[in-house]
Amino acid sequence: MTSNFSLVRWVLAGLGALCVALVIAALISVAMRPTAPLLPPNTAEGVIQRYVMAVADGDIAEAKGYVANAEVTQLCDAYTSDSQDLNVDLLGTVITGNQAVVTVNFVDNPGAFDSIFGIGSYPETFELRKTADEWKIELAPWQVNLCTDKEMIGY
Amino acid sequence: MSTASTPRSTPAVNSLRQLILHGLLFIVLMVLGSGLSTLITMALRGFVPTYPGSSEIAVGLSFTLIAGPLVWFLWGQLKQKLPALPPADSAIWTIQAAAVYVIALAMSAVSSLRLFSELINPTRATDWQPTLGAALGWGLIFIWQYRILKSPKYAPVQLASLPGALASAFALVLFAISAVTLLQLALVELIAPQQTLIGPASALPGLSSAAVWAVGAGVLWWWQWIVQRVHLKVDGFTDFLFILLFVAIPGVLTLLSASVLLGLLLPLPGGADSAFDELAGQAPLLLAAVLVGSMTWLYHHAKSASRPAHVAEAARQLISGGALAIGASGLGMVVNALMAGIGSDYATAGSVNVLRYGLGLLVIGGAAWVYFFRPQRASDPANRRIYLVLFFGISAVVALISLLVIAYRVFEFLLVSTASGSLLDLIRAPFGWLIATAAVAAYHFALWRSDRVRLAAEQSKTAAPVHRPAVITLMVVAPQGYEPLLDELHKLPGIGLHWIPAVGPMPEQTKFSGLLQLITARAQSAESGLLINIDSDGQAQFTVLALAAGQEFSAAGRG
Repeated sequence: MTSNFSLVRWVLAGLGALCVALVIAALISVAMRPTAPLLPPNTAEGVIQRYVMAVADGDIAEAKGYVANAEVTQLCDAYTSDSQDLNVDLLGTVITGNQAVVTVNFVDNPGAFDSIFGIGSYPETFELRKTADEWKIELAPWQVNLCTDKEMIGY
Repeated sequence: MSTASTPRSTPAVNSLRQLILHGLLFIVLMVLGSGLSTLITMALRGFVPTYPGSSEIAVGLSFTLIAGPLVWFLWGQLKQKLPALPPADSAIWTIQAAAVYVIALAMSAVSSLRLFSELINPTRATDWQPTLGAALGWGLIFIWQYRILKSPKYAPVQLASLPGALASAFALVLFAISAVTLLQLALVELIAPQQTLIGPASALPGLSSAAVWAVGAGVLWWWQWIVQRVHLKVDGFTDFLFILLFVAIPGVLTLLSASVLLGLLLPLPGGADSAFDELAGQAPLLLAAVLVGSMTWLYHHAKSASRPAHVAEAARQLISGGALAIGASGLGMVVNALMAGIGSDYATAGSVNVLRYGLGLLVIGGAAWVYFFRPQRASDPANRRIYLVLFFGISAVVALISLLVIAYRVFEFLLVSTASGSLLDLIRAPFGWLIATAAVAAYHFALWRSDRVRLAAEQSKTAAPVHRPAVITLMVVAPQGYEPLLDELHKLPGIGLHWIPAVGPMPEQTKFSGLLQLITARAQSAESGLLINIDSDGQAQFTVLALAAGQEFSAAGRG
């Protein structure tokens, strides 16, 4: 392998320029993206959006409206009410008949190396059931789950 | 310290003393670094404890006030003797200086980069004082050490390139990881952005802080590698780091990432619905690794032209070994998938994935191996002997493990009634490994044989009389009066002559010429020493002596 340094230099410059262009394109695409729109309330994702926002605001009465179990009264894990600025990404929705499983990503403190080491983002699932054209949450992740008084006995 | 009071300390004691003193200096410098960082952090907070009962101020003060004077004292003791140290002790000083230099550089650089990235991307619950404190505290230690290393009086003499080479290696690894992260985040945004349900567009802070890391680490690497002129240093340790860390590891990582990426992209039937999710999840990281790895590799490969020829050769062999391992793993996986196809009527997602990644590894690894090992071209057999021997060792270990697993699976199938499925299914994975290893080992065995034949032919051409020691010992047992004969024998080249006088009549001078011819002929064809017993009749009896230990000077020709 006789190294032709001038050729290698051109290839290196090309690869470097490609990397820089990729980063700039990504920055532009992120900056241009609008903030999350409020999805229609008759979709599973729209219900989850409203529910999580209500929980983050501490509005349990509002959140109760989206839950199948009417006896819930409070957050199961009181500490999650600290995190006012929740950041949730949608990963995917699987709808089977009147059942829906929505996978989301709870993003926490996005640091520089989190994506490589897989920390700072937590995939979780919501389970919903459709009754009379309305999605109700049957199972929520622990970060935003609501519990009944009975379940909270002993805490 | 070893002044007139200890005039007779041995070199070993001196080395031990240097080892202990430099070890102490290293420890107190580390303590001083963390003490200074804590103290500066607390000063930035106005000496207000973070929480009641916090011990930070006490720790910072004690670490600084104890370690600071100790550093001053120890360094004052050590620096007087630095210029006159023997080589071994001087190497201790270099290692200590390099360790402090690299650790202080790493701590201050990582803290400053964290500080900058958090200024751009403010996160909850972390504040800026600890990172700024650590950056400043360790930065002071780094500047101190840097000035010592640059001063003509105290700069290390032995292994002089160690600090610079290690620091460049650290900077390069940091830069590579940061650049891969940045590109991965960018590619995720471009290929498969996640839809945000709640909160801000979550990628922007991560992207900008990764950009800060990548740019900062790149500047650090540039400063260490180019400005400090480490790239111009050619010596054993720099060459070693260069071969292993700068060329071979980026090369093999690039090939591996490219293989897995190719496996992901292969349009094979039978992929599940989740194929696209899998692609979107893994492809950005792999593509980023390929881009950054190939840039690192290309740059250093081009740079290796300015180093000794054996550097490029060793890097080439390491990469071809890595490529062969990748290709052989791929072959094993393809065999495994083939047997899964024979054994079962249905293609499962698992067996399709095995085939997919196996083909990727086989194609990329095989192509890279053909390019770097150049099997079609003749190469110098002396160069690749170590490579081949290493390869046999690794092949033997892999084959042994595969055989053990196969045997275990067979006996499990025969003896344990709960074993389910077919025997083929149970042994296909280790069987694939075994086939791949056997194929690779067979090829290299043939290569090794032909190399050996060529080496032997070359050696027999260059050095024909390989079986003779340098000096043939002649022990002559003869009566008095043989001195003229002995004088003649003494003139022969390559002869060590010993005369043991025996009892006997004076010899006849006429027999000397015949005896001389006889002994000379025997001595020149002898493979080892000779005992020559000349009896009273003037007849010589020869006894061949065994070779003494260490006398076989050309044993290579015998093997």
